[in-house]
Amino acid sequence: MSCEEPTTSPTPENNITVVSSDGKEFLLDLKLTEQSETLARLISNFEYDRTDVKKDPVPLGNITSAQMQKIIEWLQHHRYYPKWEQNDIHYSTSFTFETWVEEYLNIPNNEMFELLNAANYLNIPRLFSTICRIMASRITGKSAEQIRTVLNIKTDVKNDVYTGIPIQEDSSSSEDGMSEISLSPSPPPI
Amino acid sequence: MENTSKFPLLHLPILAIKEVLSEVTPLDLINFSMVSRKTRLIAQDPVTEFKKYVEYAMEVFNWPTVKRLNIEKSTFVTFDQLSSFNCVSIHLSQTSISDKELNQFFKNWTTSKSNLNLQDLFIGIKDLESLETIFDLPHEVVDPGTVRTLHRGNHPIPVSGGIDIKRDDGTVATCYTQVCIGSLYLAMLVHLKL
Repeated sequence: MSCEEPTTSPTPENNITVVSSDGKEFLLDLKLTEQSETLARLISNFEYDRTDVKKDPVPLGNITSAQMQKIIEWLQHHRYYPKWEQNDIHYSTSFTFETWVEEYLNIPNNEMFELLNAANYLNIPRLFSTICRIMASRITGKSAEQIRTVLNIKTDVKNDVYTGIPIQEDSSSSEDGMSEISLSPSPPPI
Repeated sequence: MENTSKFPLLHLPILAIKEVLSEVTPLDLINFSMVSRKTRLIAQDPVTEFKKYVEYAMEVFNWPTVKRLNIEKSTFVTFDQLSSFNCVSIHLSQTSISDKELNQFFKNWTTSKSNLNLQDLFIGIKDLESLETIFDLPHEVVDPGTVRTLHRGNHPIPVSGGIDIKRDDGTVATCYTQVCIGSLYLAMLVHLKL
């Protein structure tokens, strides 16, 4: 059994055990689980916050031990942060991140992809939103061709050689068909 | 934080993809939509959302003004819509506007009720017999031997004969038929004060 050791060592009363997909167990302070809506709901449903309730280990079939370690690192760092609030109408995108976050997410893209999936599964909104903003920062300001390279997408659309704009191959998908360019067929000179 | 391994964004749950796209600009969204058919589908909702802002700006601030409108398959365009297009140039192929509606369109134009900015209309008609209904309004048939130079945009167009109609402010337009890729069109060019 491998146990993570948070700054404040969890006692049996204030922790739960989660089990990763590869069978590793992690002791998690209940305070940390508040950042995960999935875990918080589970704890509430099973009343694991009560000291007189027996806590069975929680299997997390979609999370590997490596991902769990990474997630616990995130939860530890944000332990005393205020509760995550949904963006309000005054929200504006910022692609500036605190140094700790930049270092934390300085990982290969495939690991970041897995971490985003894990954050989505465990419903950790601050982590989920942060990774999404990192991804958005890699798309923003780029041309379609550059985005293709970043996201490793092979094109399946034909682009106009001059403008780079996709040619509508399926005329039925041209919605309202409005355009500002010259008529096709164009009126020939008389 | 650049690294060389790829991030398969499109393999993420749609919720995550939408969250990523919610952070980028409308221009980024449009570039994203050009990447592949799938990205075009994914970007459809947020781009539609952006379109509402554009439509609001067009309606409230009269911006941007569409000067030239070309609709290749225009069967969906109604008479009311045609009358509301305050464009300089309207080109409609495969239209469902009837001869009677076109007649009303020209009557409205001659009485300054609609399309005041129109300089160039090019619209499909069924046959030459349609002209009887369409021009059931005051007009003047010009001798076919008379050639005048009118303009489509900046391009000079020599027009032989045609039918002149006159707006109540004195503006004159010449209408004439033209076959284009096997279809018959009615062209209307307003005489510009150059």
